[in-house]
Amino acid sequence: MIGPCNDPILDSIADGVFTVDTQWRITSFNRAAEQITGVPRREAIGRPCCDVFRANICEASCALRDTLRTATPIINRMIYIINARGTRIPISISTAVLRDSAGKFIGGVETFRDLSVVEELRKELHASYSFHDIIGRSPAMRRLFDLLPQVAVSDSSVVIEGPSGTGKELFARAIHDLSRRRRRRFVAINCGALPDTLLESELFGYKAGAFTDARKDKPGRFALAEGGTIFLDEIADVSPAMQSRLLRVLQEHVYEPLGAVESVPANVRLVTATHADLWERVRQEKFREDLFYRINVVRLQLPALRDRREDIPLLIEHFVRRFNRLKDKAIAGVSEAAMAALLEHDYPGNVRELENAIEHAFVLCASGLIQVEHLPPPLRRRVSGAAPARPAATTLRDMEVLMINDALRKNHGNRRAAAQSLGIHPATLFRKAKALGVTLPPADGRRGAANSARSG
Amino acid sequence: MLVAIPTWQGRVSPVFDVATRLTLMTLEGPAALETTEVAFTLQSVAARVEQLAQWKVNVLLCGAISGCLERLLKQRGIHVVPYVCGPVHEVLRNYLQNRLAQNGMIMPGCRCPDADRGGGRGHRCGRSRPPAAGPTTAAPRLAAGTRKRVNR
Repeated sequence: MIGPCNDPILDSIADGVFTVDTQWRITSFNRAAEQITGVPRREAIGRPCCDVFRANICEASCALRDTLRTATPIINRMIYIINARGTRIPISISTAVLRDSAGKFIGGVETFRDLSVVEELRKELHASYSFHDIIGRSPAMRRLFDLLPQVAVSDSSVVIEGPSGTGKELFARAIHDLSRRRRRRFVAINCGALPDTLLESELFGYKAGAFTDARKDKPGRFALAEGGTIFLDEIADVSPAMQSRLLRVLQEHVYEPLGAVESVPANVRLVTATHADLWERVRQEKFREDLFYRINVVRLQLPALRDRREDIPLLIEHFVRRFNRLKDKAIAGVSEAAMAALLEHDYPGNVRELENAIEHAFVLCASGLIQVEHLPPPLRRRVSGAAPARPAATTLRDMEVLMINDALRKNHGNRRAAAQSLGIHPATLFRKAKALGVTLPPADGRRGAANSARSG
Repeated sequence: MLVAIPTWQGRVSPVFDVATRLTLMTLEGPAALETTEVAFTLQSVAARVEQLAQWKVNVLLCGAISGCLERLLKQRGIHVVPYVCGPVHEVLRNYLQNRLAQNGMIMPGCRCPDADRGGGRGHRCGRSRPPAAGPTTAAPRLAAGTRKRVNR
C-alpha cells in the first residue's frame, strides 16, 4: 500500500503530483496539486481521484486507467480540469505505473502542469497576428488588417484582387462580418464556375413558367442576400451580357428574375474578386469600363504567399492546430528540415497549396513531427535539389540575412544582380551584408557569367 | 418535479460538461419517484442547456460544472446543485433529506451551501431554493422495461 505522505521533495516542485492505489483512491497529493486544483490535501487523500481531479477525460479516456491497462506511460497530454469556482483550467498530464520493490503493481502516479498562463499568452499572440480567421503579421497583411474595418463600415462596393488561393473569400467574409449588414446573409458565388444562362438564374432567380421545368418560383442569390452581402468570385470571367445586368443592379438597385414582368428592389452590398488584372481586361475591351468603375470603389490587393514568406511559419502552426482538431491527432509541428522545405517553396497555389501540403502530411504522419518525407513530392524535390535548407526566420534581421543569401545564391554570387532582384542599390547590399555579418561568396557571379558567355 | 443527475458507473459523473448519460427522476413531493436513464451525448454547451430545458428539468444534481454552463442553466430556470459526488440513489436520498454535505457527498475542496439548504458557508453562495415543481409532461417518455422503483 502507498501511505499518505508529506514529501518535502514533492512539495518543492512546481508541477502537481498525486498517486492512486489500485482502487483509484488518492494516496498522496503534493502542494502544487493543492494549488492547481484548489483541493486541500487533507480532503483529497482517500477520495476517488475523479472526484478530486474533475478532468474532462475522467469518464471517457482516463489517462491513468489507460496507463495501468497498457503499462505504457502517457506524456504531456493536454486536457482541462474544473476547479471549485467553475473555471476550466488547461493542464498537461503525464502518467506512469507505480510498482513496489518486488515489482508488484500498487497503483499509478500522475503529474500535471497548469497551462493557464501559457494558454493566455498563446491566445494573446494569436490575436495579435490574426484577423477574422485571416493569419498574417507581414507588413502587407497588417496594412490590409488596418484597412478592413474602415472598408467594411463604408458600405461601398469592393473589388478584391489577388492570385488564386490567397483567401479572397475570407476577406470578403471579414468585410461582411465587420459591416452593419452582418446580421443578414453573406452569399458567395463563383461566376467562373457557371455557364452564363445558369449564372443568370442563380443570381436573379426565376418565375414559374419562365422555361421548361420551372414549375415554381425560385429566389436567386440576390434575393437570398437581401440586406446582406453578395460575393461574386471570378468577376472577370462573366460575359458582356451578364456584365450589363450586373451594372443595372448596381446603378438602379433593381433586377428582374427570369420570366418576371416587374423589377425587384435589391438592397445588397456587392463584393467582387478576381485573380486577373481587371483594368487590363477593360483595356482589352473584355470588361465594361462603366461596370469596372462601379465595382471598383474600393480595391484590395492581396499579396501572393511567396511575397509574405514570414507568414508561412504562422500559417503552418495554424493548419497543424486545425488538422489536429479535425482529424483527432496530436502532431506536434514540423521538423526543421520540413520547415526549411516549406519556406523554400514558391507556392503558385498560395495559402491553399500550403494548406493542402499540411493536410497531405497529416495523412502520412502518425504522430510526432511532420518530416520532409511526409510532404508532397514537389516540396520534397526542392529539398533534395541544390538549394540549401532555409531555417525558420523569426526576426527582421533573420529575414534580411535569409533574403540576401537567397538572392546571392539565385544569382550565382553576382552582387549587382542580387541587389537588383532585392530592389536595392549594390552599395546598400554591401553595407547590409557587412552589418549583418553575411559572408559574400568568394566567386563573383560576373566572372562566371562572362566565362560561360565566352565558352558559349 | 423532474430531477436530472448525470451518471457514470452508478455514480454522479465527475464533470457535467462531458457527461454522456443522465438519470431522470420524477418526484411527487418528497417521495414516490420513478427513474429512467437516457443517453446525453450532446457536445455543445448550448445544446446541453436546450435539451434539459426541453425536458423541463427542474433540478440538476451534478459534479463539477463550468461556470458558463451553470449560468446558462440558471437563466433557463433550472436549479443547479453542483459538486455533488457519490452513488446516484444515495445522492438523491441525501438531497431530499438535506444531508448531502453531512454525509460527505460534496466533492473535496468544494462548498455548496445549497446542497444542505439553509446550512453551509461556502463561497458558491447566493443560490435560490429549487423552483416549485413544474409540469413534467415533456420529460422523455419512459420505454417499457426501463422504469423502476427506487427504494427510499
